Amino acid sequence: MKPTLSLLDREQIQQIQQAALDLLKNVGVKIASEPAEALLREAGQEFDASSGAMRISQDLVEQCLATVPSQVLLAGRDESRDVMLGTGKVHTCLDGQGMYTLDPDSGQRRPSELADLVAATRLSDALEGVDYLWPNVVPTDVPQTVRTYVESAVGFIHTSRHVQHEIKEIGEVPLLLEMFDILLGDRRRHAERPIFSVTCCPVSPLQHEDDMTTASLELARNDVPVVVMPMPLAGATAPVTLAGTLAMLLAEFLSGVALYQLARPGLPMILGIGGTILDMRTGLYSAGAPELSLLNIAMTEIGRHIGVPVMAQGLVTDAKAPGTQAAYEKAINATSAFMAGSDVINGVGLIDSSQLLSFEQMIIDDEMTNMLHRVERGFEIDPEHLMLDLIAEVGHGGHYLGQRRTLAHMKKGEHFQPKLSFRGAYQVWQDSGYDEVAAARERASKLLKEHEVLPLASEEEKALEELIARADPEARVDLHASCFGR
Amino acid sequence: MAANDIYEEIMQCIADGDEDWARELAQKGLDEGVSPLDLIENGFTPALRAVGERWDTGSIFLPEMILSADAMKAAVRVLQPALQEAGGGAHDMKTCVVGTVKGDIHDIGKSIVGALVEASGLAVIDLGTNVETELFVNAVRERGSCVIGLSALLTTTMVEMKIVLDELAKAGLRNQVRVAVGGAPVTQAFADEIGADGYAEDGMSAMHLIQELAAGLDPAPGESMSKVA
Repeated sequence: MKPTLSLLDREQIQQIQQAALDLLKNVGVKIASEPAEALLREAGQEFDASSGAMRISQDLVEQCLATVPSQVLLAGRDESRDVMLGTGKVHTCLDGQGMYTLDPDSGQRRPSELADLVAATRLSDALEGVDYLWPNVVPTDVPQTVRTYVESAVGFIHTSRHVQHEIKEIGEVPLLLEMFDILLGDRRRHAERPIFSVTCCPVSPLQHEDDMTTASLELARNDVPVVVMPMPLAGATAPVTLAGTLAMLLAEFLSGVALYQLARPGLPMILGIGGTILDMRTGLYSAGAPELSLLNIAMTEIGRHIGVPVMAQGLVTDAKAPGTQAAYEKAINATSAFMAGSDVINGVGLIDSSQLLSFEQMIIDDEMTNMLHRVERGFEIDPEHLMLDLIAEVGHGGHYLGQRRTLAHMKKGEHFQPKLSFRGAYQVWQDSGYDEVAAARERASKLLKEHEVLPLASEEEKALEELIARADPEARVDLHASCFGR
Repeated sequence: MAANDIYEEIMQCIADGDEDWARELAQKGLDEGVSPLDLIENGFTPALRAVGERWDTGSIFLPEMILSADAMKAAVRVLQPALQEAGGGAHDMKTCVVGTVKGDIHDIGKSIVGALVEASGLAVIDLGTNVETELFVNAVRERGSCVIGLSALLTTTMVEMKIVLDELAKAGLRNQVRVAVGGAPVTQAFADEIGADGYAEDGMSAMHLIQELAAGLDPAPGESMSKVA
C-alpha cells in the first residue's frame, strides 16, 4: 500500500521525452567545458558553428541512458545509514547552499559561517527525517582556497550519513580523492562505497558551464555519482509554459547523461529537478510557487519512465522566517513530491528561496518529513488489523483504550507521535505560551547538546585537517566550532 | 501633426512594448522636424519611466517592462545617427554598464537590472556574460564617468568582482565610477569587503541603488540628461 499521485499518462510522458530529444538534436547544448565538448565530438556528435552548440543525436542519448543504473547507492560512513535510491521509497536531504543564517541567539540574519555549517550538520545527523547531508550553508568565513575541502570534511566528521556536495573546479579533485583514501583506505573503494556524490547544475537555457562541469566529469571518472540538476526558470531562462520548461529541463539533464556516461559508462546518476518559475512581480526565483510542485510531479514520473532516480526540491519556500508561509509552501511542495514518489526530496532547514538557514526550520521540516513518512507507509489490511473479533468483543458502546492490542499496535507505530506539534487543550496552550518556532529552537539546542555523532577515527580526522592545511597553510579553520551557545 | 500628439503615441507604443511602432515613431518624429533629443527626453524616456512605475507598484508583469525597454532601445537606435549629428545625444546620458563577471555565464539577473535601470532613464550598456575584466575597464575609458553593475551567481566567480575593482583602480579610473554588485551569493558584507559602492538584493532595489549612485557622479561635460536621471 502506498498513496500515489500521478499527473501524466504514458503518451504525455513520451511527448515531453520526444520534445527533449528533438531539442538536443535540433538546437543542441552549448558546452563551455572543453573536455566535455571533446567527449561529444569523439562520439561523433555535430558541432553547430552558427550557434556554437553541440547537437546530440537521439541514438547517443538512448545509448547513454541504457547504461544509467536504475538504483543508486549513496553510502554513509556508517553502513547502516546507507541510502538506496530507485526502490520506490522517498528520502530527504538538506539543500545546498545558503549564504545566510538566522542566528539562533539573536534571531537576526547574518552571513553564514563555519560554525553554522558544523551545527547544522550535527543537528541533521540527529534528525530521523533526514537521510543524507548536502552542506546547507556556505562558510563565508573560510577562505576560498580551502572551502570545498572544509565543507566536505565537516560532512565526513559531523555526520555518519552520505555527503552530497558540489565541486568548484578541477584543481580541487586531487585532494577530494585523497579524502576518499583517508576515509575508505583507498579511493578505488569509492565505486562500491560511494560516500560522496557531486551536484552539477547546467545553466539554462541549454548550457553547461566550464569549471564545475570539467571537475564533476573528473570525479565521475573516479566513480563519484553525479546529480545533474537543471534549474530552468519558467518565463525567464525557459519558456513561460510548464510543458516547455519540462522539455528544456529534461533536455539539459539528458545532455548531462550523454556527457557523464561517455566519461564513465554505468555511472550512477540522479535527475535533480531544479526548475521553477521566475516571479514576474519581483524578478526573483520563486521556491514557493505551486508550479514547482507540478514540475516535480511530472519530472518524477518521467524519471521513473526513463529509469533514473530523481531528487525534487520539496521542502522549499520563499518565506523569510520560519512560520506560516514557510509551513504551507513547504507542506504543499513536499507533500506532492512525496506522493509522486520522488526518490529524494531536498530542502530541510532552508528558507528564503534556499538562501537562509534556520535551525528552527530544520526541526519543523523534520516533523513534517516524519508525518509524510507516516502517510507514505500506509496501513495494513488483514484479520489482525481489521480487528473484527475485537470489535465484536467490545460490542456497542464501551471503548478500546483498555485493550492490550491497542497498546501493542501503538507501540508498533500505528499512530504517529509528534515531537513538535501541540495537541493539548486550548487553555493549556494559552497558559503555557507555547510557540512552535521557540519550541523548535529549544529542541535544536537540546539535540545539539545531547546527540552524539558516530565519531570519525581520530587519525582520520587528523589526516583531513592536515590535508586542509596542505591546501592552504595560511587558512585557520576550527572544524568543531558551533554557533550554538556562544 | 503637433509634437504633443507624437508624444502621446510614443507613450502608448512604449506601454505596448511595440518595437516596430517605436522605430516608426522615431523616424516620423525626425521627419517632422522634432529634435532627436526632444524625442528622447519628452517622449521615450518618460514613457518608459511610466512603465517602470507601473511595475514598481505591482500592476504589470516583468515581461511587459522588458518589452517596453526593448522598444525604447529600438527607437534610440533609429535616433542615434541624428543625435550624433546634433553633437550630443546618448553620450550625454548618465550611463550604467552591466555585465556578469568572467567565468560566469548566468545572464538573467543582470539583464533584468539592465532593463529596469534603462526604464529609470539611464543609458545602459550590457556587456553580456563571462565578461573579461578588461572590457569593463575599456567601457569606462570610452564612456567616462558611469555606474558599473556587476553580477555573479557562483561563490567562485564573485571573487572576480574584486579583480574588476582592482583593475579599475590600477587604470586610474576608480574615482570616475560607482560600482554596484549583486547576485545570489553576494552579500552586503562581501560588497563592503571588496570596496564596492553598493549592493542590492533584488532588481528593484538594484535600480534604485544605481539611480542613487548615478546621481552622485560628476556630471559629464555637456551633461543634458541630469533632469531625467
